[in-house]
Order: sequence, then structure tokens, then C-alpha cells
Amino acid sequence: MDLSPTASPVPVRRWQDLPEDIAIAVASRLEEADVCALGGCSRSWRRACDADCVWEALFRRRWPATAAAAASSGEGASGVQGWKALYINHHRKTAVAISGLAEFVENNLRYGSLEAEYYLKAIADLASMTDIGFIDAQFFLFSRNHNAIINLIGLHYSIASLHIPPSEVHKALQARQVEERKVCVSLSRLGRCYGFRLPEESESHEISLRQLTMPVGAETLTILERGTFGVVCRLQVSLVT
Amino acid sequence: MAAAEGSDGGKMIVLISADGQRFELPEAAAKLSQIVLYMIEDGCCYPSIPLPKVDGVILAKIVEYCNKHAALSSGADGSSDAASERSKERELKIFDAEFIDVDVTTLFDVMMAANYLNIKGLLDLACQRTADLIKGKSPEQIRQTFGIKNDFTPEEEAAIRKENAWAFDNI
Repeated sequence: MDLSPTASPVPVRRWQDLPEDIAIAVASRLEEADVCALGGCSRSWRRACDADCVWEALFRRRWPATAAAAASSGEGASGVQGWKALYINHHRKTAVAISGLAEFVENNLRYGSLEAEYYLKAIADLASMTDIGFIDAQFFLFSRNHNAIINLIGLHYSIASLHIPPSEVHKALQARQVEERKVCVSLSRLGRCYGFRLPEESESHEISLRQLTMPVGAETLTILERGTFGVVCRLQVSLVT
Repeated sequence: MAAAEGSDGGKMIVLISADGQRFELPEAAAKLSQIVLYMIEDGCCYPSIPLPKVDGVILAKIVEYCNKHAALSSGADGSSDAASERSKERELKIFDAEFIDVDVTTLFDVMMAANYLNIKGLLDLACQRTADLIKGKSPEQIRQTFGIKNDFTPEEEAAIRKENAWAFDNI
């Protein structure tokens, strides 16, 4: 670094006097929570962080299909509300839709266990909603306010339906502090048949959400995806207390 | 018009900083600045280009950036195979990361100079570095990092916190 004596002393108030186009260029490189935090710093940063173009880009990145549909139907034009308001509205709408799904899961838990058919239906329901992307999964499904099965549904949906690299999913679980949560996967197979049938064979094993993003967990996800199929006559995911 | 020539025979351009320091650099490097490029095209770059808005310390950094990028830009040395392109790209990435790892005052000056001189790659680099310094911080931590004065009233601040709750309430 240059430490020559010509280095000028630090004038104050520089970072809040940044030209607005540069401030917007900085805000455009941030995610929503960081844009909100930056906008809470000072009046000048607030103006830049409320800019329509910043929120339009965030909206398009998070909900591309919804943005395209809004554009083609002519609504969503920012004139009325602005993109920030549209963004927050859609965030809330998504929160409500996903809390409905979480409720469905909670209602079908029996003594802390969820049958595979409900588990798979929850994932299929997520996939059938418009535009539930990875950011939504992180916000609403990886939350510590939900139980580990709902976290797992978010994990499974992200990897299997959204094709997010497992290492990215792992990072997100870590950020939301749910990676060490465990679930138990139990399955029963029909007994072998020798003219008469042997008793069912059951097995179960505990696995953490972190492990489920590793190669060792991929097999478990595949078992869950198949559901009750062939000789597997019962499959459940349970909470580990 | 007698243009100065560099050691390799290419034209050299002289930039003069606000505090009168002279910087000589190859034309290809100087042209990374859009405004210098226009001045070269208009023929008003001799004997030198005064840059009254950039002081010497910062201009030295800008010249270092332009020299490196011009030297390593694709096809600068005539080689164009994919492997050497990739290794140059890697070298530039490492250079950029070290180049922009500076205190926030220097970062601010580099960003303003890149904006004034219209050097897109450098402006992007400085904006990205600024964004990286913001990530994951609270408003108060951001103010401390950059020395930003809180000019909100307590009422406004409470209203903003309330308005922003949606982005944080699930975390």
C-alpha cells in the first residue's frame, strides 16, 4: 500500500455523499436483507436502496415467472406501487402459501412421524405452486420456527426439484442454523416368501440435515422419493427428540 | 505531432494528477479509461492529459490497474490458446482481489476516480468490493465500517425497522 505523505486526510461524510447512480450500483449487488440494512443507514442510502430498479431486479431474480406474467398482463407496472411494495407484497403472499403447507404437514404428523405419502405430497404441492424458488425455501422452509421435517421438505425440494447444488443447500442450512437437526427415516419391507411369508423387516436410521446434503444422504433422499414401492410397505420420517 | 514512444515502440500517454505528478503509460492501458480514449481520439492528448479531479496517490493505483489489465487482456501478446487465456484470467482475478483489498477511504477514492475516468471494469470491481463489505452487517455495523453519519430521527429509525421486519422476521 502507498503510504506516501501526500495521502490526503480522511474527509468526513464521504460515503453518504456518493453519487446516487453509484450507490444504486452498489445496492444492486446485494440481497434483499442487505439492501434493507443498508437503507437503514442514512437518508441518502435510503433513497438509493428504495430505487425501483434495485427492487425490480430482486423481484425478477426471485420470482421470474411471476414477473413475466405480470409484465404480459400489463399489471405490475411499477407506476402505482413501485417494485419495492410489489416485492414485499409477494413475499407476504408466498409466506401465507407456504405456511398453509407447513400446517398440512403438522396436521398429518402422528406422534412425531409423517407417512411418506404426505411427505411426497408436500413436495409435489411446493412444485405445483408458481415460483417457489431457493430464496423462498431459505426464508420460509429452513426457518428454526419450523420443525426438522419441514426443513427437510425444503431441503429435498431444493435439491430434487430446483436442482440447487447440495453444497449450496448445505450453506443455506448452516446460515439458518438448522444443519445439525436430525430426522429419523424408518422403512418396513415385506418379509421374504418361501411358500409362507416371513415377518416384515424394519429398519430405521437417524440422519442430520447436513448429512442429507452429502453423498451419504443422497441414498436416503432416493429412498424417500420412491415412497412405498415394491417390497417397501411402509416408509416414515420422524422427528428426533 | 511527435508522440512519445515506449520501450516496445508503442505510443505512450502522459497523465498529470491534480497535484502535478506525471504518469506515463502505454496507450493501450490509458484507453481503458473511456474519457482518456475520447481525448486520444480527438487528438488532444499531447503533450499530456491533465486530470484535475484525481490526486497522485489514487492515479498511481489507477495506472497500476490499467497497466496490468492492458498487459493481460486477451490477445495482447499474440497468443490466443484457451489454456493461456484461462491462466491470464486467473492472474487478473488474483490481481483484482489484491488490488481492491484497501481501506474504505482508498476504496472510495478509487471508486470515484473510476467513475470520473469511466473505467467500467474498475468501477464494477470497486462496487462489488463495497457490496461485499456490506453483506451480513446491521445498519449500525455498516455505518461504523464506512463512517456514515446516522441522520435519521429516532422516530424515522423505528419506522424503518418496522418496515424492514419482513426481511428479518423469519431469521
